[in-house]
Amino acid sequence: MLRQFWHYDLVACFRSRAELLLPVIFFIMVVALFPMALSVDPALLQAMAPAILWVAALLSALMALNGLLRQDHADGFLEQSLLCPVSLPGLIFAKVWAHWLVTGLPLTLLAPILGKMLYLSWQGIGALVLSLLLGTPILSFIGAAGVGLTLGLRNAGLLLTLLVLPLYVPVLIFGTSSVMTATLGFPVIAPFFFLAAMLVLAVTFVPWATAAAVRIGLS
Amino acid sequence: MQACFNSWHEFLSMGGYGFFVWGAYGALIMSFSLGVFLTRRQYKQRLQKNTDESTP
Amino acid sequence: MKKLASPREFYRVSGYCLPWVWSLFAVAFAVGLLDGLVFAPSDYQQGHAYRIMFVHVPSAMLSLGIYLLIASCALVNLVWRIKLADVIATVSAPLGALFAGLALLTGALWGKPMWGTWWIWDARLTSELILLFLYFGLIALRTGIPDQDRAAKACSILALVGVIDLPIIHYSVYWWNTLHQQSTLLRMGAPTIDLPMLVPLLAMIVAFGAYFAALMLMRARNELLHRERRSQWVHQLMVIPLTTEKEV
Repeated sequence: MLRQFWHYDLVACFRSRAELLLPVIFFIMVVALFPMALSVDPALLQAMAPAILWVAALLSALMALNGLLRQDHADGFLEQSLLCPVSLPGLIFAKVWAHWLVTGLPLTLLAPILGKMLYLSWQGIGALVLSLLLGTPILSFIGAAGVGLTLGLRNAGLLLTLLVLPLYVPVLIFGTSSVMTATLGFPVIAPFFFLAAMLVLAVTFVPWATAAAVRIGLS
Repeated sequence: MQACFNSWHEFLSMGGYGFFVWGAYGALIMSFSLGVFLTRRQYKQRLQKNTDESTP
Repeated sequence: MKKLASPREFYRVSGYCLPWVWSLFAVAFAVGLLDGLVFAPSDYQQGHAYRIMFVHVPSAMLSLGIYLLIASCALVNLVWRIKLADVIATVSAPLGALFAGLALLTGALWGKPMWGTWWIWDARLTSELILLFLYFGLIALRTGIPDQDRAAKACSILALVGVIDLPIIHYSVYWWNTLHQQSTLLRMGAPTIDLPMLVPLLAMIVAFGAYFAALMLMRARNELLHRERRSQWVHQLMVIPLTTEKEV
C-alpha cells in the first residue's frame, strides 16, 4: 500500500512540472548571484564555491519544503490518511523520499555544472555530489518535521525557516567541509561518515516525530 | 584575603579594561533587574486581567 | 510528588519557597560579586579582564542547562501528560534566551580586549548563537500556535528534536572550527584555574541558578494564574486583597 502512495505522490509531482523546476531554477539563480556580487576572480570563486553551492542548495531545499505535506493538509488528504490502516510514519517516510526525488535529487545532479561554473576542481565536484546526495535527504527529512509542526499556522513558512535553520547547521558544516577537504587533496572520510550517520538518524527518527506533530496539528 | 586594588581609581579602571568589565557587569545588573521588573509587571497584569474578567 | 503536580499545590509550595530562593540568590550573588570583582587576584595573562568570566561562564552554563530542563519537561509532558511540566517549559524558554544572549554579549566584551575583535566565530560563541536561535524557535512556535494544547505538544516535540540535535550541532561546530578555545571550565579544571578564582565562579553559578529558579517560579505562577483562571482556587486568591498575597 505504501508503494501505491509513493507512486501517487510521484505522479502528482510530475503533473505540475512548473513547480518541479522552481527549486532548481532558484538554485541556479542563487549560485549565479555570487559571481555578480563578489568578483569574477576565479581563485576567489573557487575558494568560496563549496560554501556558495551548499548554502544555495540548502535555501533551495528550504523553499521546496512548501510543496511537502501542505497541499495534502489543505485538501484534507492528511486527515483521511489518519483513518487509513496505513501507518502515518510510513506514509510520511514515503512522501519525503518522493519529495526528495523531485527536489533534492535534481539539485544534486545539477551541482557538477554549477560547480564548474565556479571553477571547482573535479575532486571537489565529486565530494560535492556525494555530500549533496547524503545531505539533501537529511534536509528534506528535518524540513518535514518542521512542516509537520507548523501545519496550517499563520506565517507557517517563516516559522518553518526559523525552526529548521539551526537544525540544518551541522549538515551544512559537514557538507561544505567535505568539499573543502577534497579540494585540498586530503582524504575525506570523517564528514561523509557524519553525514551518513545523520541521514540514518533522520530517516529513522523524523517520520515518527512528524507523524506525532501532524496528529497534534489535525486534532 | 586581600583586596586586589589599592585605590578606587584602580578598581574602576580594571587595569585598562574598565569599559569591558563594567560593561559586562552592567549588562548583568540591567538584565537581572529587567527580568524582575517584567515578571512583577506580568503578575500585576494577570491579576488585573483576572479581576476584570470575573467582574463583568 | 504527584500532589505537587497539581497547579494549586505548586502555587502554594512555590510561594513558600520563593523567599528562600531569593535569599540564596542574594547571598551567592553578593559573595560572587565581591569575591569576583575585589578579592580574586589578577590573572597573569589576562589582567583584570578575566573577571568577565564570572558573568560569561555562568550565563553559558545556564543557557545550556535550561534547554536541558525544557527538554526534560517536554518529555514529562508528552509521556506522563503533566501540564505543569509544560508550564515550566513555557516560562523557561525566554529565560534561557536571556542567558544565551547575556553569554554572547559578555563573550564579545571579553573577546575584544583578548582577541582584538568584537566577534569571533569560535566554537563556543557560534554554538551559543545557534542555541539562541533554537530558543527563538521555541518561543516563536509557542506564540505562533493559538491553541494551548497543540502549542504544548508541538513545542515539546520541537524541544526534544532540538535536544537530540544539540550535541550534533555542538560537535560539528567544534569540528569545523580551527582556532577554537576549549571550554573555559574544562580547561581551567586542569591546573589553569586556582582556588581563589574558583570560589567566585562557583558562587556566581549558584547565584545565577537561584535567580533562574526564582524567576521561573514567579513566571510559572503567573502562567498558572492565566491558565487556571477559571478554576476555584484562583478565584479564591482573587478575593484575598493583594497586600496579604505573598507576591515575592
